Amino acid sequence: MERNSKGGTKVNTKFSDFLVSKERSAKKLIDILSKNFDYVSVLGTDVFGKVFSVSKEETIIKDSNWSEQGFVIRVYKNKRFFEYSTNEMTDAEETAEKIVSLFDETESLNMNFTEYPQFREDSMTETFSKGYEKEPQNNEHIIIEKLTEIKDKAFSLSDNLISFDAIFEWVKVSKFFISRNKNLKQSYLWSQGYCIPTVSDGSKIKYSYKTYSGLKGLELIDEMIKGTEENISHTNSLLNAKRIIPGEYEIICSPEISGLIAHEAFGHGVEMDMFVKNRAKAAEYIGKRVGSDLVNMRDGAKSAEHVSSYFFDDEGVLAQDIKIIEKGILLDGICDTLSALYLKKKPTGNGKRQSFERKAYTRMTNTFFEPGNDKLEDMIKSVDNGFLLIDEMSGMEDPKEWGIQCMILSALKIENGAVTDEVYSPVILTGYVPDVLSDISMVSGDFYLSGSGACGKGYKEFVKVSAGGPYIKTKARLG
Amino acid sequence: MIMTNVLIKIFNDLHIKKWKIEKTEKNSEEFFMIKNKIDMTRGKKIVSYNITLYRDFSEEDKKYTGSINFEISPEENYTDIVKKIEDSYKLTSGIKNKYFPLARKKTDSVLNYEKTSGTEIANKIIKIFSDLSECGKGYINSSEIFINKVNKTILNSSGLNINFDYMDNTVEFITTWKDNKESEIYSFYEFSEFNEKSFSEEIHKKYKFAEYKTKTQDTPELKNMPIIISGEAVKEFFRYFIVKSAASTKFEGTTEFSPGDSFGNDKINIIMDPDVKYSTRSYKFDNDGFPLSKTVIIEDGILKTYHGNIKYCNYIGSEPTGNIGNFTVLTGDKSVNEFKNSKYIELLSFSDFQIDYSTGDFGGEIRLGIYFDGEKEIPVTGKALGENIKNIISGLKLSSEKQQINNFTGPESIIITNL
Repeated sequence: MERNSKGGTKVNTKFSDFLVSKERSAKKLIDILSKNFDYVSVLGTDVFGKVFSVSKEETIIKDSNWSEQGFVIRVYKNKRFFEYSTNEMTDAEETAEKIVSLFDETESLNMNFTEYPQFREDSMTETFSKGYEKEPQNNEHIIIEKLTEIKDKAFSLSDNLISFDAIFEWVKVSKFFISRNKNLKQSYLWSQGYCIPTVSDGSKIKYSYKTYSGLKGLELIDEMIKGTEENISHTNSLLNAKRIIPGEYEIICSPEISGLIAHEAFGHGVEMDMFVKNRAKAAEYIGKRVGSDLVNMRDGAKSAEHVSSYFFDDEGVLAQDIKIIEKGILLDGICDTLSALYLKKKPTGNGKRQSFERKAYTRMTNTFFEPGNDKLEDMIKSVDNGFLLIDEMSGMEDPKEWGIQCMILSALKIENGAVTDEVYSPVILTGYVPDVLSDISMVSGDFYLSGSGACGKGYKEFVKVSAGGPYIKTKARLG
Repeated sequence: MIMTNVLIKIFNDLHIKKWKIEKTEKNSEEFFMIKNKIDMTRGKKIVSYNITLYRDFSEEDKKYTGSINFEISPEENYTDIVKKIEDSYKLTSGIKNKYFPLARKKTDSVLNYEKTSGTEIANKIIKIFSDLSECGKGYINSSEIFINKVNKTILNSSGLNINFDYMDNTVEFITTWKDNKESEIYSFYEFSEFNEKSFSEEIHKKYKFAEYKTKTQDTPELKNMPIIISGEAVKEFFRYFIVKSAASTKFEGTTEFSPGDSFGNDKINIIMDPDVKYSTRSYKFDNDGFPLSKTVIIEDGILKTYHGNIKYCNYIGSEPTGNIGNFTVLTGDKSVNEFKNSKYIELLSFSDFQIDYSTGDFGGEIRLGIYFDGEKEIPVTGKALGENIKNIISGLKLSSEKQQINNFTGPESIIITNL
C-alpha cells in the first residue's frame, strides 16, 4: 500500500470499469484474428479527466484534451505490421472482418514493404496501480472555489493585472495491453495547473505562466495557491524587460531550462526511430564523447516519479530507466518496439501514442540531467558577465544537425558574481548541442522536474513528458 | 435507437432545455514510408459525441449562462451516460458566465469534397513521392500520409440540425540532400482536395532548400539591409493580426485594438473566408452550427470588426461572425525582386518561427537564409531573428507574389525595411 508524504494512505487509482467490460471482446478479437495473422495485440485505453479554468469573467469546465476511450489492434503477417484504431469493440467478428479487409487492401498497393522479423513476447500477467493523496473527481465545487481564490488573490496584488487564468486539470489513465502472451493493466492519475497573469502599464502588455504538475491529485492546487505572489511580482517585472544584445554568454540554466535543453538537445536526438530513418546524428556518436565529464542524463518512465511514469508503454513493454549519457559519453538511445526489431535491439519502453487514434513512435518520458555537487551560489559567483535563464516558452529539435533552439521567457543579468534585478525578455537560446554540453562546467545538487507541457514530434503527435534536472552552468548564444 | 435520439431523450427526461450535440465520424487511412518502402499502414474509424449543456438563469435582472462540455463515446452504457449527463448538468449551476444564445434553427446538408477514396488520394501521393524520390543529390528520406474523411452533425435545442462532410489530410515528408554534408528539410503539408501540381512544386522547393543547407555559411549580423521573410513564417506572422482582432482576445483584455484603430500600416488588408479551395478549414458552419460568410476584418490597416463565435461576440457586444478557419491577406503591389537589387537577406526556414500574440515579439533560429552581399547569393544558417512587431510595422512591405499554405492565402514574402 502506498503512503503519502505524511505517512497516510494514498487513494488508489481505480482501473476503468469500461475496460474491464471490454476485456472479453478484446480476447475474442485476438482469437478470431489469430487465425489470419501471426501476431495480434489489443491496446485498450480509457483516459478520463477534466479541465477547470477560472478567469476574470469566465469559468469553464470541460473534458481534458487528454481524454480518450478506444482501442488499437496491431496485427503482423507477411513480415509487416498493420494497425486499426476504433472506439467500437462490441462486435469482435465485424471488427476482425474490417481489419482483414483493410490489410488485404494495402497488400494490393503493389509497393515494397519494410520487412520485420517475427518477434516474441515474454509471458506476463500483471496489474499495476499508483496512488495519490486527494481525490479530484466529484470535487468540482472545491476546485472552482480554490481557483477563484487564486484569481481573486492575484487581482488584489497588482493594479497592472488585466487578465489572469487559473487552470487545473486532472487525468486518470487506465490502459490494458492484451496479446496471446500478455495481459497487462495499469491505472494512475496525474494533474497539472497553470497560473497565467497578463499585465499592462498602459503601453506594453506582458504575461508569464507558472506551472505545476505531478502524479498528484487535488493536493496540487495547494501548491498553486502558494505561488501566486511570486508569479505576479515576476510578471510585473517583465514590463521593464530589455532585449539582450545578441552574442555568446556564460549562462546558468534553472532546472526548467536544463530540462528544456536535455529534452530538445539530446532527448529527441536519441529517439531511435530516427536512427531507423537515418535522421539522427547521435547514431554516429554512440560510445563517443558528447559533453563534459559533468554531464549525466537519463530518460525513462521508471527513471522518476512524474507525469510520464507509466508501468508499461503503448506497445506493452515494461517501463525502464535508461542512462543516455554517462560522464559526457553517449551510451545509448531510447526505442519503441518496431524500431527495436528493425535495429535488432531491445525496446526500452518508450513506444508512446498521442492517443489510441495514432501510431506509436519512440518518445521521451521523464528526461533529465542528473544532479552534481556544486552549489547555486558558487555557480553565480563564478560568472562575471552572464545570465540566469529562468522560465521556458518552447523548444525545437534538430536531430539531424544537432542545432538547438530554446525560446525563453525571461532571464536575469548576472554581473560580477551577483544576480541583478535587470530582466531580459524574451530570449532565444541557440547553439550546437555538443558545444553546449561540452561547455557545462558546473552542475548543482538541486533536482526538479516539470511536466506541464506536451511534446510533439515535428508538428504533431503530442504526448505527456516531464523534463528537468539541476542548475547547470554553460555557454550559449543568446539573442 | 440512434445515439443522438438517445441523448435527446435523456436531455428531455432530465429537463435540460438548452443543449448542443456535435457528432463526428472519422474514417482514416494512414501510410508511413521510409524512402520507397511502406513501413506501416493503419486504418481508423472513430465516432464521437461532444455534448455541451447550458443553464440560463437571471440574478438581479442580469442574464447568465452556465455551460459544461464533455464527450460521450459510442460504447458507453446507458446508465453511465445518464449519470454523466446528470452530474455534468448539476455543475452548470455553479457557473455564472454572461448570457449567450445558441445558433438559430437551420436544417442543411453540405458536401465539401468530391467523394474520392482515401486510397486513391494516397496512391497519387505515393506515385509523386516515387517519381520524385530522387532529385540530383537529393532524396525523400521518409514520409507520412494521413487521409481523413470526416462527417459532422450538429444539433441543438433551438432546432438546428446540420450535416456536412470535409477532408482533413496531412502529409509530412523529409527531403534530404547529400553532398559534402547531409542536410534535411522537414515539411508539413495540409490539404482537403489534393492539388498534384502544388504538391509536386512543394517537393521541388524543399529539395532546393535542402541543397542550399549543405552549402551554408554563418548568417551575418542582421543590420543595415532589408530582411525578407518568405514562406511558412509569413503565415505565422499574420496570425498576430487574427488573434489581436478576435472577440475572445478582446474579452480576455489582451488586445489593445478596437474597431477603428490602426495597426500602423495601411497596406494590411485581411479577410476571413470560409470557402477557400484546398483548405482543411473550409466549412460553411462553425462548431456551433453558425453559418459562415466572408468577412473583412482589417481594411487599409484599420480594424473593421472583431471576429469570433456566438459566445465571445455576445460577451463583448459585437455581431457574431462565427469561427472562420481561413484568412486571406491581400498582397502588395511590388515584386519581392524589387527589394533584391542591393544587399539583402531572405529568411526561408526557421527552426520554429514564433510570434507572441500578446506582446508582438516574434522570431526564431534561422535554419536557412539567402544572403546577397551585393555580388553573389550565399546560403546562410545560424543566429536568431528577434523583434517586436510594433517596432517594424510602419516599414513593413508585402510582396505581390502570392502563396497558399492550407488556410492562409497571402503574400509569399514580407519585407522588413527598418529592423
